[in-house]
Amino acid sequence: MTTIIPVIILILSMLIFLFLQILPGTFAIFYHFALAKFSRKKSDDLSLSFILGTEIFMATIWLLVYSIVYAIFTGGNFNNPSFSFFLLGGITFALAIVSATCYFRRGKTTATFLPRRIVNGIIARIIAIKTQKDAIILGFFTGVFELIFTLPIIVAANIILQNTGAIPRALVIIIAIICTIIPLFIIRWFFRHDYNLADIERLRIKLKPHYRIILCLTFFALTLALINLGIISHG
Amino acid sequence: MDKATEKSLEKLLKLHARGLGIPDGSAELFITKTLAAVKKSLKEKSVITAADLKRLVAKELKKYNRDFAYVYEKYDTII
Repeated sequence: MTTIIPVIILILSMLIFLFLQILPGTFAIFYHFALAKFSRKKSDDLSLSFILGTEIFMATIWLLVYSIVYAIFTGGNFNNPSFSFFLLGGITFALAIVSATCYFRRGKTTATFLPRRIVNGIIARIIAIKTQKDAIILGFFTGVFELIFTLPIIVAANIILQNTGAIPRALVIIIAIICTIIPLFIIRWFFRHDYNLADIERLRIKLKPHYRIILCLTFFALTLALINLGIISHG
Repeated sequence: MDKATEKSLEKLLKLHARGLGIPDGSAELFITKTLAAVKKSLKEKSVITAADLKRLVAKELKKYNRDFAYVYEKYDTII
């Protein structure tokens, strides 16, 4: 399998991790309420715990998917990855349409597709946080809400890594985790430099159309790359 | 507006004010004046929805601090 298209797919995947918005939104509210309840130093420590929870979740998911993909492809029953690439291409195409139309709700907000009941539950959980353990758990479970967008990408990446020996798997996982937490560190930087939730939210609303376009186009490009890879693997 | 709603609203507003870095004294003043104005406008209404109450509170808060009003109005539409 040529290495160029798999590398392009991996880069596009990392871009998607950078621009998904549920984690950054949750983190922004989390930091705001942490500042309300605790000192600056403790809020900072709690924010790092939240980020740690997110990292643990991403690492867990990647390792879980790796184990499943490894079992499927080395079990001997499923040697041809082309079908998987076509299937994943279809899924990412659907996600491209979803990210353009219903990832964000309408209006001047950054509200996402999550049902309001779940959002209210998350906010109630955030307000009740007291310890670093709570913050880690919150960071861990917030990643679950984006699984619908991240899981196909992680599966595609693992299938590619399984079939391409040239790309180091550990490096890809580390880069994926870093891409997921970069937006959180950016928001943390804003809070530490005396910006508040209102400023951050106004900025996110301004950037909302750009997020939408980037997510849609990246998923679309991923679709084309996966189908291309499927055709090459099949041939 | 019943006592329980007023108390929980006051608690939430205090949390938002502290999160925004508004000094406690100023926050207390803004919240007291806002709730007084909201209670006055609610006297004319027999029924009010949660969304209406939110809009009324945000409208009053805007007179004192725009960021405070903005965060109160938008905090549950950030995610």
